[in-house]
Amino acid sequence: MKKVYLIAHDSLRSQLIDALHEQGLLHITNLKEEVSEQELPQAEAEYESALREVDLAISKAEFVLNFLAGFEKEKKGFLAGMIKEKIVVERERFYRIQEKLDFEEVYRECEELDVKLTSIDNRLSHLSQLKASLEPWLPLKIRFDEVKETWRTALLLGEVPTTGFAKFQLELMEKVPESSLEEISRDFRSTRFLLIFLKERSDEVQGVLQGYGFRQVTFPGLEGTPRSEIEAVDGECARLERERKETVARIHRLIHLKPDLLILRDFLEDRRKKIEVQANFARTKEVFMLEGWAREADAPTVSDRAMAISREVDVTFIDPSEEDRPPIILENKKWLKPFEIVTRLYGLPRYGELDPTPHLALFFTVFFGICIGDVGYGLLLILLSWWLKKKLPVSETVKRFFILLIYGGFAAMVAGALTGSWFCVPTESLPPILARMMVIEPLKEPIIYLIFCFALGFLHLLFGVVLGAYEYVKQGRWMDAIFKEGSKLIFLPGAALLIVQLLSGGRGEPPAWFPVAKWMAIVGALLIILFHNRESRNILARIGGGIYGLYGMTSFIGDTISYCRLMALGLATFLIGWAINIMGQLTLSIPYVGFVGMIAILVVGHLFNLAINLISAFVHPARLQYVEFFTKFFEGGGRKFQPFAIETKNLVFRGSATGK
Amino acid sequence: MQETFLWLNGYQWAVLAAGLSAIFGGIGSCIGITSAAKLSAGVLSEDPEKFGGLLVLCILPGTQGIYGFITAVLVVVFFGLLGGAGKDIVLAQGLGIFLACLPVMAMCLISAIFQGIVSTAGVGLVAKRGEEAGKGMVLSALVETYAVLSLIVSLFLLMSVRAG
Repeated sequence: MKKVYLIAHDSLRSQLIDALHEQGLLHITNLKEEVSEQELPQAEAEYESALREVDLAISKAEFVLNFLAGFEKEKKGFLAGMIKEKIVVERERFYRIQEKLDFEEVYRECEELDVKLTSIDNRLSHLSQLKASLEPWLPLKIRFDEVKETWRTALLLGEVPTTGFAKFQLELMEKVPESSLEEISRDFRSTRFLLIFLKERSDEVQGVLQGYGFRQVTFPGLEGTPRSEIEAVDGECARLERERKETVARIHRLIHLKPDLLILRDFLEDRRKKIEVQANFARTKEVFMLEGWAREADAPTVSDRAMAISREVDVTFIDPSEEDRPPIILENKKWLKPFEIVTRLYGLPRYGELDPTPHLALFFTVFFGICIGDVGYGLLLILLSWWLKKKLPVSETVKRFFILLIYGGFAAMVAGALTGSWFCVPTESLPPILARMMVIEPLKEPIIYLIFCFALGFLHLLFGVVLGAYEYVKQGRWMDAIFKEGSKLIFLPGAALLIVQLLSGGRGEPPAWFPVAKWMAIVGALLIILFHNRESRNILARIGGGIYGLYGMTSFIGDTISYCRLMALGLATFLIGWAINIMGQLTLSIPYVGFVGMIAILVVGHLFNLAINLISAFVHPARLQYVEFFTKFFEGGGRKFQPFAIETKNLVFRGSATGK
Repeated sequence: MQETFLWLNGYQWAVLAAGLSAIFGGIGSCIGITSAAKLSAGVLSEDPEKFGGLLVLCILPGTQGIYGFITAVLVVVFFGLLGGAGKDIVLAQGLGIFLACLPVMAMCLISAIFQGIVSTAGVGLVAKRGEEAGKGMVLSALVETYAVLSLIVSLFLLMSVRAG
């Protein structure tokens, strides 16, 4: 990594930003916070307004996308829901999207359609309410505009609660006999009626009405009979529904623009980044300066490109100092790239620290293979991953993940052949050729298999210690490498062999290697006691620290035992698969449909088994790397190298790698 | 008539031992994982990018269930429960098997629950500082040590019961 400073005249700013952005090699850091300078109100205002403008455009694009998304017909499949599919575009189309797509027009149309749709929906709901309130009045034969006062009489439409209606009727007839009460309709809640009475008796009528919870009903604006009014409402509803359909059809005609809109949104987000990045620049009235990081190999490319724009640009490269925390970029051979996923999951190494990716690749694959541990599943995994990788337009990271699964699939095939697991068929029923490839049958000899897993784990741990020594050597701390890690390398194998001898019962003549192991353990232990706390000047503290270091070695026992999960997961795959095979066999005995049923159970069952074991087969080996292996040599905590470059949420560019 | 203790004969004690090992390990792991996974779901609603680190933290208390399972398998295999040999287990041996499995039963149940608590705290750590997921994992793995030790003890005891 090289630290980059770029100074140029302000007039070249946007040109330079475009060039750097297209190149995508520079990780820009915040210089403004470090360099205290006087505020430039003009620059601030310009920045704010540019940002506001692009934000407005983005929110418009979001509105249109959300609006259209509500009318999409296609349902997403299960797989598509799991993996985010991307749109494949040419770079040309991306950069020219604003020329191609008349977005303002689309936005205006969407807005108009949205308003129209809302007003139609409002009107429809209003009409349906009106219809509901009109329906009880259907038996009324007169027109609403006839319900009004005459010279001597008054007309009223209204309702009272049904429970009190009979009493109300009696009282009215008693007190104001010269009135007419015509019941229109009734339901369990209220009874509706038309009341005609003499105006001069109005007060008495009102008195009776009030006593029974009378509510006058009016239909302002309506003139015809209830029947004709309902017909009119129905007609209006039908017209609105037609209009709604037309509007929705117009929206559907816009949906084909969705890919373009997604491209546009990414384009706008990209422009936003170009504006935002300027907040990191240190600026004066005439000049601006930016700070960033570039890979050493890329440094000349960056400066050449900047110089090509104008001679008035100055680019300086500096080696990182002690206080700097340069961002981290993992560089591995192409076939190792997929394993970076495992490293990234944990965290990036600090600057100058060992990248564990190449070192975890082999063991991770082997562990993954043991956890799946079946030839058939391995093959299935390879084919599925290969097919998905070919078929789906996904980002580079997801592609790498599929490659990782393909590696794991091969390892699973090997592990399966050696343990005699072919689609979880029990070994007795295997053809002799396949059975002969078997080296060990975990179900019959679990202890031996368990010991194998422990041994594999122990090797993995020792490898971690070796890497710890290597890390010291890289930092030039030879003494630490030899005394600290070297003493562990002498002690641990010796102690392990002693434990093995102890567990095997120790009967009979001790084997020839026994004295060697014994002395390795003793010498190793002494070295650890003497040198573990090498930095300490006080002899007592040094010995105390050493003894504590020796005590720390007990953690290796727990770490080693932890690898028994490999056997457990391998067995679990086999046992579940076996149960599925038995179920399939049982189904076969059902007459007529038996064969079809068996195929269905086997296909669904084995896919299910593969899927659930896949999760464990990824997570548990990863855990073994992180918790058992990494603790021996690796700390992590690095910052990711994020070059200022095109970054897309929904797009994959055709014919070029993205997603660095 | 076979000898019995608390109504169970030797074979039944062995079956009980295997079953309870798997059950207790499983219960512990379920509780532990649930505790961490619940909080993780909350963190993911804010920051789906952290799924990887959180997944590992959640799966950490799953080890105890595996240890219980291993113990159960070992009992089944050591004492021939799958074949007919299981019926020949005498009461003393059956009780021995049960006692030998006790460390795993107790420790896997308890350590998984507590490991779940530490993992949950780790999820909180990841929520605030995503780059420190590794340290959260290491802390959580500290608790697991004692489940490992109980597995070793149970293993030895089972071997000694088999040797008679």
